[in-house]
Amino acid sequence: MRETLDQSLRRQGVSRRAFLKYCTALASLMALPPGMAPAIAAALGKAMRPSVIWLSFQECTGCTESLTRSNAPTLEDLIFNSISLDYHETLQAASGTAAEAAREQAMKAFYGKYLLIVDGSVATGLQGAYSTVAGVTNLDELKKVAAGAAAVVAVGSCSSFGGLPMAHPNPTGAVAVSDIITDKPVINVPGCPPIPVVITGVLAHFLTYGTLPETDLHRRPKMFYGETIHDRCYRRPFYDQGKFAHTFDDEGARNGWCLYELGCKGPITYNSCATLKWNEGTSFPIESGHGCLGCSEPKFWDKGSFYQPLSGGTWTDSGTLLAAAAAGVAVGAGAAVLSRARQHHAQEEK
Amino acid sequence: MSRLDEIPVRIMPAESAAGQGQALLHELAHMLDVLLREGRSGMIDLRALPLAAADFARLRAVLGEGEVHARIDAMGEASIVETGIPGIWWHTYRSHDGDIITEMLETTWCPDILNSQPEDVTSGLQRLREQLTGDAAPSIPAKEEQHA
Repeated sequence: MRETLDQSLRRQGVSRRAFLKYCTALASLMALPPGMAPAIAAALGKAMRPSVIWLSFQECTGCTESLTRSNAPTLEDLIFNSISLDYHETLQAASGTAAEAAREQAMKAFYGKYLLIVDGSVATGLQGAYSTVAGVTNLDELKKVAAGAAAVVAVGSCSSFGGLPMAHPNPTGAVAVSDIITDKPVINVPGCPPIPVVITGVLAHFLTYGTLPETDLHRRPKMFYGETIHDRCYRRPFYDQGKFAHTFDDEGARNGWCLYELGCKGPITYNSCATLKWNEGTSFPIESGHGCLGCSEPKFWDKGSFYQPLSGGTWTDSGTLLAAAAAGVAVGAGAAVLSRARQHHAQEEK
Repeated sequence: MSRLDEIPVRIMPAESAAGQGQALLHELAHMLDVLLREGRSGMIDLRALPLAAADFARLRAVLGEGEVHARIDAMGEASIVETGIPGIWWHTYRSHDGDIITEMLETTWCPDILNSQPEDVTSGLQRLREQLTGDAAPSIPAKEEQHA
């Protein structure tokens, strides 16, 4: 019988105070009040280490790279203290038949209870023959492994929405995991890649409560994708004041003004970059002077130039854009119209 | 060079127009009032807010540092400092690598994490008793050595 996390930590000499500190970080990750840490510690301490199987399909390994750079909790903490990562092609030491046997064993031992994580989209063209592992198509492997899973976590925009492999003309017939698996709870953690602590935050929620967190229309956890980048952006006051950078080297750019006119997709992109940030909380793209690409939104790859302002682009219908503009003040909305006018003017000059 | 802050490039921070620091100070004043009147503690997760560097600077400038500086070595270092406004504590939790994983402001008489935890006291007592039992045994050969 597997030991509880409490037992595991005590055996490793980890103090209760250290565990409380860890749970405080988890509460922060899960957007829960920090005061919840003792309750999380109580629930998490009694949890058995769940078996996790990670499958990689049509992907670039960027999502795994992202996760292994996670600092809170560290992947080591996650693997050795909280989960039992029984199969991950990139990280596991075993290879070939030994690796496949380990997966089969975990599936058999924890059938109906293990957590399945998938990164990469699923090729369906030619009956899935565009992408195979050990002679088995990703399509067949997904169906087989998902059948015994308690829940499925689609990590990254490729497994969540099809991603770059699905970009026009989608030669492999790539689809999202949720297009194939319809009889299991599937949660999407999109992003190209997702923020590492968002990945671990979802896992932490599963460990603490034994369920997947509440999701939005696109199956994304609301606790991380509940607000737009724009809502939480520290440059938002400049949008409200109508202060915009017009080029990447003008006075507005140097002053750190809003990047809306340079194509920032923050107003319609739901993610936590503005608060959780990247590189151990150092910064996020907008803080580094580049607009948001909208990588956690479906089909962001086929929606035109990254540098085209939303007001003149194909990203959204006019109703959504008006709603976004209305969320700001009149100055900001007026600037959006001005931006569109400028864009028309530029097109006429061509 | 292994850490980001060792790379000799500085990103010029945007001027703070957010004023979040000032809003937080008002919230802290309210929380302190609640602590005094009702004895209820409160916490603000600073990492969950879109704070600019200037907001942090404003908070640090107004709150300052007080009389108590505590350091915890547990799965990475944590510092818990009572600010210059008694009852407001600044928590900074770091990972093994020294990166900040959580930063909070707490209004309380004394942060709970500074208290010894019952589970740790129980295992500590057990270790102490084992030590005492273990100490008793070597004392006998020591006497024999004296006679020899």
